[in-house]
Amino acid sequence: MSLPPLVEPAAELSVDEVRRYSRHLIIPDVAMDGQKRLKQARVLAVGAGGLGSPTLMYLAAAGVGTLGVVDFDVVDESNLQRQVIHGQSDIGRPKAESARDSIREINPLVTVILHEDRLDSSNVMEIFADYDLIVDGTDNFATRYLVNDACVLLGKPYVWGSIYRFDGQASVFWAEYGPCYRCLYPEPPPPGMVPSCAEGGVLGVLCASIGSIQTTEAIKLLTGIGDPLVGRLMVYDALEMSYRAIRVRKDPECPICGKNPSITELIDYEAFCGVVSDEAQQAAAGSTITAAELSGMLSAGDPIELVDVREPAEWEIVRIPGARLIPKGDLPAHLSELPQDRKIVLYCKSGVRSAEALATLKGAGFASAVHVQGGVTAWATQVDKTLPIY
Amino acid sequence: MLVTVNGEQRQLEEGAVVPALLGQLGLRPGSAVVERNGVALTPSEAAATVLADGDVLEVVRAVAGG
Repeated sequence: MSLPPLVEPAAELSVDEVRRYSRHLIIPDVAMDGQKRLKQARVLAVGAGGLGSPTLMYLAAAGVGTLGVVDFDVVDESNLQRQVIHGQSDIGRPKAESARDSIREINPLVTVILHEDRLDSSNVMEIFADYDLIVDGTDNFATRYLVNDACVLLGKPYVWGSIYRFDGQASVFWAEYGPCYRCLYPEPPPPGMVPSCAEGGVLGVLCASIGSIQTTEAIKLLTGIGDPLVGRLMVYDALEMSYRAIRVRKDPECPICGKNPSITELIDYEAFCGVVSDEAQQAAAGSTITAAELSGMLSAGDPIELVDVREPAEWEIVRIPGARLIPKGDLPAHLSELPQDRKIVLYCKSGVRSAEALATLKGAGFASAVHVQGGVTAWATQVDKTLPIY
Repeated sequence: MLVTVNGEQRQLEEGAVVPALLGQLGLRPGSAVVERNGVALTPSEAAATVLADGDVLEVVRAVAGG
């Protein structure tokens, strides 16, 4: 399926632009007409992180006239393993500003518009309205459903990509011509079931593999060349080095773009996706201690059993002295090994997984068990500052 | 009956539906794309699909990293 170009051509290219884009101009399918369309195009990147980095850099180099960047975060040292639009000297700077500076260095002819706000239901429609196409590289389910729903309601194409460890997925969602995100994934996984890249890790270069698909698709849509990735889900496995295209269809029962939509306006996406399950919230209520309180208990020699519920690779990086490792997924099989006569204290990296594990323990009768708010990260920032944070 | 899920053989009860398989895999129906014998099922189709002996399934779970 080919689609008409998304953007009308700009009036003309300058002499400088002809020189800069000459390798595009001599491709018959792009040529002067396609390059003028890129010049006229307005593309919004949601997130200047792992996927946003290569996407923004290549869209800038390709000559997309206006690039919008949505990001409220600041550059952290742990971003630099994959977020190549930022550099060492950008640590601590707003990502949007750092991205703008890199784009200017790559191509000063690009107009960059910054949106340094957290994208939410109150601002998304207004921000998206000014762009031809949205490229999504956010790191959470709530924002992805928000972006999808806003794109469906506004009739805009949504160039989507997603990564985890060695796996990546990409597609173009455009309800007018094919399925939307909810046609594939109508419901988010339960909170705590799918780790984020911060919890589970990601191979840095995976961002380039998936970001390059997103950039290619954006350019194809803007200029109207080739077969867009509408109605196909690309699934990339870096370990097998395989790309598979799964043909996907619009779901007539889709809650937003189906025959009888139940979603006709934006909803509360944080509530829809949740951060912690209801069970975990109930378990953690009144059974949460701070890192400082744990330190006090350990110093006083209180009889406690300290259990780390993270994965072995995380345990190798940093741990709280005196703890034993039982990964959250293995906990149900190890309940009989836990002492009944001591208070069990659980911790993880940030306090989400330990809350889920706490629900498991409480359900098994360990009524006095508690978990540590903020996990080993809180311990390393508040109690023992010599420890690494990852 | 025996089905193949992401390249690995798996024993299922006769008459098992797709949501039951997803449950076994620890996945919530609606948060995974299921391809059965080369054809991707829409979520509403998946909910009602009874699996058959010898089915070849690819299950792609939702991830949100970026």
